[in-house]
Amino acid sequence: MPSAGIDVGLSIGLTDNCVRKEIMTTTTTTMFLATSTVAALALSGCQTPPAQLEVSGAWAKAADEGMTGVFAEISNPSNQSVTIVGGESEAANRIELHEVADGVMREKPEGFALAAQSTHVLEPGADHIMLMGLNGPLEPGETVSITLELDSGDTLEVVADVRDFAAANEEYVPGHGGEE
Amino acid sequence: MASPRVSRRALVQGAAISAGLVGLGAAGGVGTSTALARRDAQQGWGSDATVPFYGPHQAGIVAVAPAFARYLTFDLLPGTTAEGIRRMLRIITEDSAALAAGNSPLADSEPELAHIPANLTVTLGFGRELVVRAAGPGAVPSWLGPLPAFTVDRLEPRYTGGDLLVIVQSDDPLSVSHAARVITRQTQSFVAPRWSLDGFRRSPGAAPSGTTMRNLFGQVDGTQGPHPGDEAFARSVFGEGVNTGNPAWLAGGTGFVLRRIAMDLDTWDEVDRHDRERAVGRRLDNGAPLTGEHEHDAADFSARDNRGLPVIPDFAHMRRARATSAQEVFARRGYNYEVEQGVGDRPEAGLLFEAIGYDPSKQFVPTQRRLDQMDMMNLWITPVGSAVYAIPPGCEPGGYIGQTLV
Repeated sequence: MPSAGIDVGLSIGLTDNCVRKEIMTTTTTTMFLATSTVAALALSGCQTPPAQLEVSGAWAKAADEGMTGVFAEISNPSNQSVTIVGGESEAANRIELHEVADGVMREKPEGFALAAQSTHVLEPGADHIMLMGLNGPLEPGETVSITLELDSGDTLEVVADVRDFAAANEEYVPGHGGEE
Repeated sequence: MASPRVSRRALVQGAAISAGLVGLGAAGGVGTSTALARRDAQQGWGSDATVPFYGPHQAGIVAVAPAFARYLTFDLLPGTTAEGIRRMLRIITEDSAALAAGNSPLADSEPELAHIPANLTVTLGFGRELVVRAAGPGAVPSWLGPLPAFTVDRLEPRYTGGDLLVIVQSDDPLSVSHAARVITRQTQSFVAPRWSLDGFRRSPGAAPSGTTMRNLFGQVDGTQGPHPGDEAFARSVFGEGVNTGNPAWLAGGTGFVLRRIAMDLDTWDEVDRHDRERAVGRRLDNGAPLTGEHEHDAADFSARDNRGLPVIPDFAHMRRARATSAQEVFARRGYNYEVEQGVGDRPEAGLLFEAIGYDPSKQFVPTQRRLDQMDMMNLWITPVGSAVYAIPPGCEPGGYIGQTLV
């Protein structure tokens, strides 16, 4: 596993009466990625501290137009379950959370649930993030930033490296409002 | 006799294997559990035999040469600009660093193949066109371009030139193949393959580590230094302490001549052992100069036999190839190759020869001119491919190979 050098300002005042604060979490993935992935958690509630998710190995399939997939390994080292429910990116009109079943890709409206102390792998042929309606080409060697939305209302920043990839061409059956 | 350095390495490897040590505790990246499951008794050999990727020089230049190498050359696609070159170099750097550590790079379709690096290194070299597109003609070292023509050359255009050189080396041929595939796949938007060729030496463990390789003529090949770690290596390869005249971006890097030299095994068969030794000036059994006993003995070029003839003949390769000044000294390295040519054709056998030095025009070229004029080995060897590359320096984590250029 990436050794996570997490430096989080946990001294954040829970008594601070629901003031929105941002915590920056930097995970340094040793031995695996030259790029570091930055996860930003934005506190919006004041009940409990949010689960701190860690992202490693994030990458997106290069594409000239249309839609494309984003993949990563997302870990939830906390003792609370977290669900990724949506997100947005400046690179695309919108993003969707997808699953692949029987070779058919479709939207997964319930999102990606991460149980406490678990890791969810987003990979071709399985759960993944889709950028829908690209605003421009995603070229190999670039990075694309995505802000994922959690059920807690917090957000998770993912910076994905764009790579050429021949697979991940699953037939897309639009549903639940997702067509392009 | 094996040197102390050789013996120690061999002992360490043997001890690690017999102890059957358990897998590494620290691993990284996606697929770690799979990797751990496979890191078993191969400690000290395959899975944890790693060469650090990052450093002031590219690892493949300063590391002990492993058993297998693949040379890949590419041409830039017409639309690849400086910005594209930068993105490509970042990708190759990240993938190479991951592969060297035994981790699968991003978007690797066969991640399990990445887990046994076996001393894997990836070395990048830049042809003239890449440097021009990256930073303009002013960034091109004076020597970076085709070599002058030599009379012995029979160069095939398809084996000559190339904008980008990638050398993948490892003690495991499957790891070489996988790494080459990853890099070819991930650079397809920027470059097109030109030629590639596999080179080989003895398998790891078959001979004591550090043994000078033998070529397909049976000769001990590569005795002449400097070698990595030698005092003269930093000076002649990286130009340390020398006013090289090279552009600043190449500091910590070097020049690199790659020659594909075909060897005619059939006509070599016609030569008896005595004349084979005189052709080079070295003994076949241990590579010693004909005037000495051991491989690394200094040659006595003035020695004469009882008929008054030079013991090391005037036409002997080692006499003609020796440096005539300190400036001419450069590092050399070779890998054997043998490839099928097609149905009914004899395979092409030969040597992929590397001349590594800060200024090939002052080091390799004058040496090759002497060999071109007279070298008995020219009867059996024919250069069929040739290229010159600039080898940029290494980089640190977060950086990329070529960042001093583009």
